[in-house]
Amino acid sequence: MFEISNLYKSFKKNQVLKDVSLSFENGIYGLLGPNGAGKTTLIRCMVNLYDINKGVIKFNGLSIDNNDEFLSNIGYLPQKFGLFKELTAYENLKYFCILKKINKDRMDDEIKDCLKAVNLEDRINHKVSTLSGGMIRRLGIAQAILGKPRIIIFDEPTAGLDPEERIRFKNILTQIKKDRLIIISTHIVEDIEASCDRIIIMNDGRVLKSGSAKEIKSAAIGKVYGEKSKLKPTVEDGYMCIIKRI
Amino acid sequence: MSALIKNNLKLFFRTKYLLFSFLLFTAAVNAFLAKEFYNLLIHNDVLYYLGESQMLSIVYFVFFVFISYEYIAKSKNVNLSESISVINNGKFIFYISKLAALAIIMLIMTLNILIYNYAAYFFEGIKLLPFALHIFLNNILNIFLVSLAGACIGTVAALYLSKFQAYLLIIILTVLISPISEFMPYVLFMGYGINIYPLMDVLNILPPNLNWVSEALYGLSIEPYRWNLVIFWISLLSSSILFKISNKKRKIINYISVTLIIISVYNFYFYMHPGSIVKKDYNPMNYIAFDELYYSKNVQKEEESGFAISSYDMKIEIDRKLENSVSLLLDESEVLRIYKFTLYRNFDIKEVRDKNNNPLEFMRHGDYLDIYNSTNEKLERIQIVYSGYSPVFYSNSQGVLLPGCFPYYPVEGYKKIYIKEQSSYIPIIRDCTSEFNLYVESSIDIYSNLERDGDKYYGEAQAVTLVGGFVNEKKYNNCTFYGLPLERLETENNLFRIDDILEPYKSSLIKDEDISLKKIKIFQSTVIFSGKMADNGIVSFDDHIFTYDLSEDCIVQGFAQIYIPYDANKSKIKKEFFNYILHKEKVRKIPKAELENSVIYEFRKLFLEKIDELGENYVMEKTYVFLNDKNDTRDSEAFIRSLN
Repeated sequence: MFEISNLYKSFKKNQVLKDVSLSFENGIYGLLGPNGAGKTTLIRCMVNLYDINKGVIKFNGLSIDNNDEFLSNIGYLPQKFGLFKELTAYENLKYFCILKKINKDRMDDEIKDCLKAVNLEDRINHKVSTLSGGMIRRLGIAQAILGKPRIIIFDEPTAGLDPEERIRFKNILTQIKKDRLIIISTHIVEDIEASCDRIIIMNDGRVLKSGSAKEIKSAAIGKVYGEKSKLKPTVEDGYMCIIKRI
Repeated sequence: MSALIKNNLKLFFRTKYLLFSFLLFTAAVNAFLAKEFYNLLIHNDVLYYLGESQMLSIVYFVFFVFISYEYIAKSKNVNLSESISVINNGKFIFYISKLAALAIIMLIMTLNILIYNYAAYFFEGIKLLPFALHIFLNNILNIFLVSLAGACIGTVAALYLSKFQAYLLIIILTVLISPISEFMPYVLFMGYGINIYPLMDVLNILPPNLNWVSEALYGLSIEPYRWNLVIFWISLLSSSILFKISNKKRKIINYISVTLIIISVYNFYFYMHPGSIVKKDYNPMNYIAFDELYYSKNVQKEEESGFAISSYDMKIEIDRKLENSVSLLLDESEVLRIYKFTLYRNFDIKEVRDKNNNPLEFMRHGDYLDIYNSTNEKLERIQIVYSGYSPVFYSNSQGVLLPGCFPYYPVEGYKKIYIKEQSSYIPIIRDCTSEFNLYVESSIDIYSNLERDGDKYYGEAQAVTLVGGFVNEKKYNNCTFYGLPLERLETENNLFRIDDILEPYKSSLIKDEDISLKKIKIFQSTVIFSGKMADNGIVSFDDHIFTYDLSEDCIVQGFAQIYIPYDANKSKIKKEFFNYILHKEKVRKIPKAELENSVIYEFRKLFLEKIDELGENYVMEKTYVFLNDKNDTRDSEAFIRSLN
């Protein structure tokens, strides 16, 4: 469905992505890596914000360049996200509905559904300036899922959120994941270990490992607590072992 | 898109600092317009009111630069652009809808000024459709397009620059565009001879001449070059906006951007070739300085031609400038080697041909044209093709002021054009007549002293005058008056009683009693004509008169002057002569002390002393003979001192 082959991206002399190849099907993917690993750059290449130097990104077998089908099937919540404070939640989402060319007759239902999905239906007529940071981020998720896109990409969606909001985010994921590809970029293992079907670990512009949570954990077996230890390694242990190439 | 624009407008008016700025701006604009409307009730000058309203152009410019910067930068500040850029064409639609919202606000604010202007138009009872259009075009050019250019600058600054850089650019541009910076090129040119006017003028999108008395025939400056300049900036800035907001892979948007660049280049080319314009700044190429600087040197000559032009066939085209193809039928007493003409120096000769259509050699030196005859026969007919303009006596698609006393077509011999001591033009009035046949092509209606049949003008006359713009033809009994409806004369009714007014002077001043005075056409002098032509704009030909007023004095002087050849050396005595005839009591009432001590009365004192000494009738008779005698070349002082 969504495929990245031999992707290279550099900024002047700084090579940020080096030969990245990945393949995605429906499900939730966690893109895990420390700060500066190249996650945001990879995501911006995936959503066609950056021109790539080498390689190809395909959606349903076609390059995403000038691919209207791809562009109308993508929902994106960037790392830094804001909304018009002067408008209400409803008006902000309506703004995005128009940009996404959602049929006028369907707009109201679409907005209500999305707000329900992110548990903000009671704030529909509240101005954004009155909402908390967590609520604004949830509203960001609502704008990303407007129009029922088949691919949704979240870049550091839980950054700055309190634990309660993080749990809420995980619940939202379970609600919206059906028949979709969801990619979550984060440097916090906890955000993705329970909800992701597959985890991709990146560092220094390369994909180091891609697999299920179990496969990631297995990378730490015998390396963290010793082979005879009764303590089982966590995803975080696996992640650390992969990153540090232990 | 309309729903998005609606949301953007909602956003604009809900953003506190934008709303506050807008309300403050609207209140200030309306307070100014209302104050000026109150003044209109006193001065009743609708053109002046239009000029005052267009002064708001700079305010609109600054407001829309600032407001568009803040409005566009706002979406950058709230981190929206990334999520919008991912949507198919999202960034493009987003910014275009925002600019459209700003354009709607600009339109509303332009409409605001238009309402006041049209209220003034109807209030003053001006029934002149071209002026109604003039009001509209002024507001579109000076208010809407200037605001749009401002919005484009603000948008480019918001998209490309940081806040500090953007504000720095906005402040610098505002200073350079506003009249504050006018002194800079003036100081550099006058002080050091460095001409930076061409550089400064590229930024000069604001309406010019607003601090000057408006030219009622012409209206305010909306010449094509001004449209070219503002469109050049708008299209150039728009293309850079498009490059920034579009997905570079979208071919259609790239094509639009390239088209905008082509439009801007096209407009820049025509901006660089403005043709005839009326721009009253100190640029050495414009109204004030172009002739003043040139004639300050000794470049003028006077010489008889040795031939007369018996007929003129002209094909005149007036668009950005005047183009003329003239065929002259010559009356030569002998074969001449050089045919000498006067033709204003800013008309470029393209070709000169003889009666057989063979090219003739010629030389241009200033206002003079020498055409060489290499044969041993009389030339009989000469065809000259030329084009150009005068920065003072305009000829373009907005207005035409081509008085017959200004050499915009070739006249025989070398003539002096300009009196540098008075900074004014000498009315060139030929003492013979010619047969004129003109075909004039122009987008505006042209009036002339000649008979008219559609675009053709014909008749025998000393000269041909062409006038077009805000001018009305009115008949008063049999007298035809070409008046300026935007500068109505309260004395216009005097035209009903011309005969009565002239009657007391017929025996002394008006020689030819057979002349049919009613056949004479009267043209109202414009501000430029009165200000720049000697004798304050009262110029008389056999068949038409220019006068700035229709008071009894002006009518008498206008008619009496028909018989007095113009001589710059005699202007002082002519002025005193007419003053004494028309305002004898006033002249006599000047207190003796004032007459003795004031420099301005020096000549008058001399004149009155001679009257007291030699008698009024004697002095006036001698003066009249002196004024009429073309061969007497003494100046005014030499004449009056010689009286005994």
